[in-house]
Amino acid sequence: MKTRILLALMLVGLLAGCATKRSQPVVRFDRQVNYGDAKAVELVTNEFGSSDLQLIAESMVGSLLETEVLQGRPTVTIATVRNKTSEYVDTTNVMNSIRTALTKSGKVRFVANISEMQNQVDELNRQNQSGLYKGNTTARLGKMTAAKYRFEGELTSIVKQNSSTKDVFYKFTLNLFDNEEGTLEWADEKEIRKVSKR
Amino acid sequence: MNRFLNACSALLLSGACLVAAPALADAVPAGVSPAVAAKLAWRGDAPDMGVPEIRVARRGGFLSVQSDLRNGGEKDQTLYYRYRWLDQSGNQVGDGDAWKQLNLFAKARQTLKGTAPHPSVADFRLELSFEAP
Repeated sequence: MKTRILLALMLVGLLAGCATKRSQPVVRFDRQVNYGDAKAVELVTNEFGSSDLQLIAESMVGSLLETEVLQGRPTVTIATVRNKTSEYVDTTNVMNSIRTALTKSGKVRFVANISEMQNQVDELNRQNQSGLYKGNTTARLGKMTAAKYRFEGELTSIVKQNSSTKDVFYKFTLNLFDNEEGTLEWADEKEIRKVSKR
Repeated sequence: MNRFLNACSALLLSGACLVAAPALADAVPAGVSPAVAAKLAWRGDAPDMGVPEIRVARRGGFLSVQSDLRNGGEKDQTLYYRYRWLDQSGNQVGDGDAWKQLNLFAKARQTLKGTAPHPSVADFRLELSFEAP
């Protein structure tokens, strides 16, 4: 009898030792939805995806951080980023990632681009023309800093397909122009090939 | 008899505990030098893979790393990699790079480039995750 009890206790102890599933602080019925790793490689389809955006941004930022052109934290703005692929791609999103990483690095200072200029002007007018603010606290007119450089980018793709294979080649080109001199001071490309088979 | 059962129960429980506590990273292949191995976080079984050299330089004030990866085997190897950037205290800088997929041909060599996102970066780890063949 004593032996049986001891064996039963051993079994319980072993099961407790093997048990790895623990409850988590989440409310759901079953495992239908999960948060994934935002940095993971996305291979759901061969259309432009999150990994492509991250690859392009990291490559461009890495190249810009290493260049000697951007010395002394110059002012930069983003002009146009054209999408010349057949897909809908939010190229602004790509440039936002590049701009965020460059700003966090402290390498350059970005000034308001064309699409952000209206908000900048509206705020200046509100502070200077509404009569609501103390004179010495308002942002003064005519004090904005102009951009020394501007970014222009382009995303293109070449798609080839047969009955079994689809090959998509993306090329992202980023150019940095000197606004005063009109010269191309820096340029780089990122190429991505995605192949899917049926 | 009781002593025997007690010994068995202790052995079984310790075995269960060993299974429940896996290592955080796998062992780097023996061919990799200790200096290089110290910069790697190896995940998966890839005995034919090696990292013969890692070159580090500062360009424009930012840490720039180039790691040579070699496939000494007879089969192509799919792997995933990324750099993790650390400051002088060993704290991680930024969110970490995105994982990148690479298919390295048999008997081929490839350089994995990375640039630190901030001038405060003083150290790095190259995370490698190998797909089972």
